[in-house]
Amino acid sequence: MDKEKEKLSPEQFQPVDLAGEKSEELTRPELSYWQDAWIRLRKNKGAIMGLIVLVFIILISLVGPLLNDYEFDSANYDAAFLPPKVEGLEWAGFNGHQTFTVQGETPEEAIQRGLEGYEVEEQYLLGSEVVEQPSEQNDNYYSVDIEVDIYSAKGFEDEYFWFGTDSMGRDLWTRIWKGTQISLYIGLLAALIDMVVGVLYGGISGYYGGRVDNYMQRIIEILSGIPNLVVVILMIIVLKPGLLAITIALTITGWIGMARIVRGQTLKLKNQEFVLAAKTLGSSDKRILMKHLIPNVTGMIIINTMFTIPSAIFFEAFLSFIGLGLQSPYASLGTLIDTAFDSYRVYPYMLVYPAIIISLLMIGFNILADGLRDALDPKMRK
Amino acid sequence: MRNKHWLLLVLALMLSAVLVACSGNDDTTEEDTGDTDTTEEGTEGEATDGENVLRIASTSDIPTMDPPLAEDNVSIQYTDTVLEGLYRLAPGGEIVSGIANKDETEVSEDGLTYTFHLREDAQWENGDPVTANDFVYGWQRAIDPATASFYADYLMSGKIVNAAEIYAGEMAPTELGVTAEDDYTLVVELLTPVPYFESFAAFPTFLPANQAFVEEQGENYALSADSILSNGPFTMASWEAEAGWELEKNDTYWDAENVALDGISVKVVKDSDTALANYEVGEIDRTSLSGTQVNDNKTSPDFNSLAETSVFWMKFNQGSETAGEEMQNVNFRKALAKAFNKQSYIDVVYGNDSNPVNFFVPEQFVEHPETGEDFQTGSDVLEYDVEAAQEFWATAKEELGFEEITLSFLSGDTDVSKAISEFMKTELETNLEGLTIETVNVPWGEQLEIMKEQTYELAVSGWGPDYADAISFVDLWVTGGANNDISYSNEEYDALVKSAKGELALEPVERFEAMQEAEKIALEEAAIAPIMQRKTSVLSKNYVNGMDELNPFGNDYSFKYVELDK
Amino acid sequence: MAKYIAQRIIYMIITLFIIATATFFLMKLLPGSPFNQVAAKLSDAQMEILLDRYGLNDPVPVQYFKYIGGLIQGDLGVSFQYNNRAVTDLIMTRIGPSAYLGAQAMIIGSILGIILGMVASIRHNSWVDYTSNILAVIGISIPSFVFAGLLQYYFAVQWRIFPPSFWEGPEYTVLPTIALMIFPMAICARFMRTEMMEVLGSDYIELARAKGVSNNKIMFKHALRNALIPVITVIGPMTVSLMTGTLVIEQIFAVPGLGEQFVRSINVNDYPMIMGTTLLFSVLFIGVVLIVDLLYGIIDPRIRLTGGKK
Repeated sequence: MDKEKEKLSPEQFQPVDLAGEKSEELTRPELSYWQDAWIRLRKNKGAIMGLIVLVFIILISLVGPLLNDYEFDSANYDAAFLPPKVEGLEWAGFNGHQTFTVQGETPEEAIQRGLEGYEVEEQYLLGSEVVEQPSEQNDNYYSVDIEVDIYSAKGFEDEYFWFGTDSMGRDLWTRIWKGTQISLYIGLLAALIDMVVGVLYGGISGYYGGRVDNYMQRIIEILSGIPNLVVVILMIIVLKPGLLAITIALTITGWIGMARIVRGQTLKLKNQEFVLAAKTLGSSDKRILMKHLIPNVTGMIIINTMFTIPSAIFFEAFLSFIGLGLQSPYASLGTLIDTAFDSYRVYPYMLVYPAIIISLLMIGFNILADGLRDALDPKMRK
Repeated sequence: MRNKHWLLLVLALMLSAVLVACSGNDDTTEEDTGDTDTTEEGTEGEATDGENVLRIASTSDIPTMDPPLAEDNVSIQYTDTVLEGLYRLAPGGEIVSGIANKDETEVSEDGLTYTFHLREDAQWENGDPVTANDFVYGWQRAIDPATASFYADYLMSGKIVNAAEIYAGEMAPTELGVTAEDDYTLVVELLTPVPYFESFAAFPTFLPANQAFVEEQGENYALSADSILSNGPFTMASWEAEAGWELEKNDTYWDAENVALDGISVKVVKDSDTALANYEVGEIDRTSLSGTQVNDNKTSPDFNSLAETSVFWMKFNQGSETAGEEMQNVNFRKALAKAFNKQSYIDVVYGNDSNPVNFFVPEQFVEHPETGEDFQTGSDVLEYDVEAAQEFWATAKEELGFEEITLSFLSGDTDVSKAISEFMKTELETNLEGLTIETVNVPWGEQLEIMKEQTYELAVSGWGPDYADAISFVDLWVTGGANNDISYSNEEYDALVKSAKGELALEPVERFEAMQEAEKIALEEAAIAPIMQRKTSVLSKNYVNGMDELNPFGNDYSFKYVELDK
Repeated sequence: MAKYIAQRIIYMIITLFIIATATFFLMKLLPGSPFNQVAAKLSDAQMEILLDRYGLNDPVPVQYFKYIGGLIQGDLGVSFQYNNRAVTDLIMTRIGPSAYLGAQAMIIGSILGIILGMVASIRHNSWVDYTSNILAVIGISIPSFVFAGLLQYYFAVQWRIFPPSFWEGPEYTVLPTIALMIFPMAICARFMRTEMMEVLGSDYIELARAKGVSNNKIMFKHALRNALIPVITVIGPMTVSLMTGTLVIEQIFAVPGLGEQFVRSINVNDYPMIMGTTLLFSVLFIGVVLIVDLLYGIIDPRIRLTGGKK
């Protein structure tokens, strides 16, 4: 296109003298985009609920580890695998009783095996129940559930591990909340990378189109094509494991999905009338992109962030696993779930609490995000 | 117009998706038919011979069925099941006659010439007799540099005449010191007496090969079920890459009447929870337990623990650049060696009943040639003892003049390695004041590189023997030894090992005692910190017999002797 | 159009070449050698002999040109870990199960997701909407290995409805497919709902309604089509990654697929396998991106990729 033709002379666009039109004034207090958004967000009950859940989890993750006397990294091998026990909440199942399912040729033999195998003296056996009769399917063994007071059996009558302990006898309450802090950081970081790199990259690529788009998309293809695992292993050699390493690993490819979504939407929007209108009015590219296109993609951005955050949290767990993330004794929700899953059949509590927290976090974030979308998206403005 | 276009495209898109699905489908149906064929064969077999097929899982596909290339548990296990060498391992690790009659084997006075007499009724699957020439060809092929066998070089070079030269490409493989005197007499010439040569005769690298068949198959040899020629107790009926393989009893095997199983069906299962799930629904008869599974299943009536000959220890790298001076101090090493609870280590890391040990040559592995006593007589110099450790630590601090020190602890990136480094960090830091452990968890390749470059201070590692002789372990810490990546050096120790490998070869008692003495020296100097002798935990249906013990080296189980008692 | 496609294919070759080059050199930096398994028992001299034999002692650029030379002739080389079996053969045998599972999960997952998203958008802020939303959130908040493990434990071990693992018939694909399709389903549902709501609130739908166009026609002809852009943006590449295999699912359900194979190749430094799989993935990925770009123009003719900024 001939640029000269496009350029309209500034003289043609002299501002109209508005001073005279007093009728336009004071009809509505002038609100910035964000003020407006906040007002609309406050009206959305769901969003406020989501916000409260998030704030609550953030607060408790900061305060939680201080609420009891245990350290997240102090191991006590004798206290391994103790189930949750809370003073005053015994009636709600937080009684520190452990149920083991054991097998044997007779119910008595099964109980005996269980007590011996888990090193529990008979006096701490609280009850037993045959859950499965012998059949072909289970090699003709009885399955018996035995409930034992494992705290007393291990000599920890006066201890209260609110979320139980792990395989090294460390207090899970403290570890889970410490881990929540780390996972929150990872989640926020991933969201930020998405917002900054992904949105801008996709926006620019889609808006400018043509050659710019072509090159930018080829770069994305190259980054996606090189196996991530190879890069991550190489990073282990170069970097010390820790938050910095995680941040870099996330930055390399974490934003690609977002960039592609934003590009797709921008391609769709940029030929629509309102962009044309803005162009006609002489808005700069930067202004069109930032003020017109990206706000219209907010919905997609928020939805995509919702997928990025849990992926990042589990990517961190993967990085820790192969030696690039946080190293023990530090833990994150991802690594806690990782290790808990190995023994969820006998010690389900290890898996349940981190899984609930991560789901709550995501549900809270999601409801809030939906509200935010309604608040931020210009199309939703009523 | 535009609308039609759009509809067409959606159609095309869906069609392509369906096509992709179908083509995927086709692939699988092909494979499926392949599978059903084999299962049909399997069921037919089962129908005629009863349910006498052992069903097990393997953690990996068979990397190779070509014996000289076998170097991992799975390859070694199955090459040895399908083929038979001079000798074979019976349950408990006893070396028994295979193709060669063990009682008739002659060893020359100087221990340098072995004459094996082969049985005349042994044959290959295709009807060819198994002759001494098959062994000559098999061994020559193994050491041929073109074959690129790791084990051939490790076990033959320096022991069998000309092996090292052949491997280096300086001589033709036919020069190897092994000849067929006649069809049923095999003569092996050695450079030095090898007191444990019997073990070699039962090891897969020394299996025979049918020259005509190998050359006919060419590049495809041993790559599929069809390109393997068996002379052992089982034949390979099918082999689906990464999915599994089926073995059938070999009716042409010379001792077929003593093979109890009609077949073995192996499925590849990489995830240990999946293996357990299959065991629980009765898809497989036996499964190994790993990590926390041991704790979860130790009360089961099907639970069993099998002793291994693998010993694990903590290495003290005395060649470390940053803390070499400290690592060379005996008191410093002793303090570290005695400062961690070995029983807790086993409980936390393995959760099974592996034995905590204070030595590095395994128990129940080799016996005194005359008295029959175990090599291990028990040593407690490096026993867990926090108070003693702290005293040594204080002495070391005085001698070396440090208050605080940071040591790196190298470990892998598996669950087990993670647990190890976490445990060691906690134990050592708690028990030794002023010590900081920096854990380094990296993938195996990286770990090897770090160990080779010796840029670490502490690491846990283990060793499993390839033949039944203590020298396999004692040889590890000689000065400049290929596996001595801890830079340990002691003249007395070196001298003892040298004599055990050389002049004492024909004096079994003195040799045995020299090796015991050498181990004692290394322990007293805390060359390494022994931790445990490992056990494997399994769940096994009560009708599986003959898999209650692991062989001390080579193939883990001897399927020839396994029975199902349903 | 044809010209544009031809141009893109040329770019594709260049891009592939860059990916191949970068991967080759990066991969050579990986620690260890293909002989890691036995490295502990090998002396340095033995190691040298082995490396020489496989040409791994050549300078990396020489190895690189040798590889590219082979590649141009369509030769992907032989695998180290499988004793010289051709990489092409190995990939061909492994890709079947992965592609089958991936395609099945993608088709079922995305169709269900799109329907769920449409229903949720029509009945937004109803219980359908909330339930589908919360299900989607939980679906993505629980890592796939946990989800797959739970499926296996309950459906196979406890209730014995489906076999726990292996690859022997259609019933064996049920559990892995469910485990795989959760993510595409959740993502399609969420994108669809959001985009549909925007589209349904737009002027042209109002206009169509005003003109008396039937509800079904509005939904399927106008709204669905216009809401598809983000969905195809996401599911295109996702299809490629699912169909080339996923480590976790393949391991848990003992599926002999490519995903598990690839990760192992990296762990054991099986260079030719790493390259072969990377190239396969890249070809498919770039191809799908091209298809998605073309689809943009067909779904919304206002989208033009050829021209630059006016």
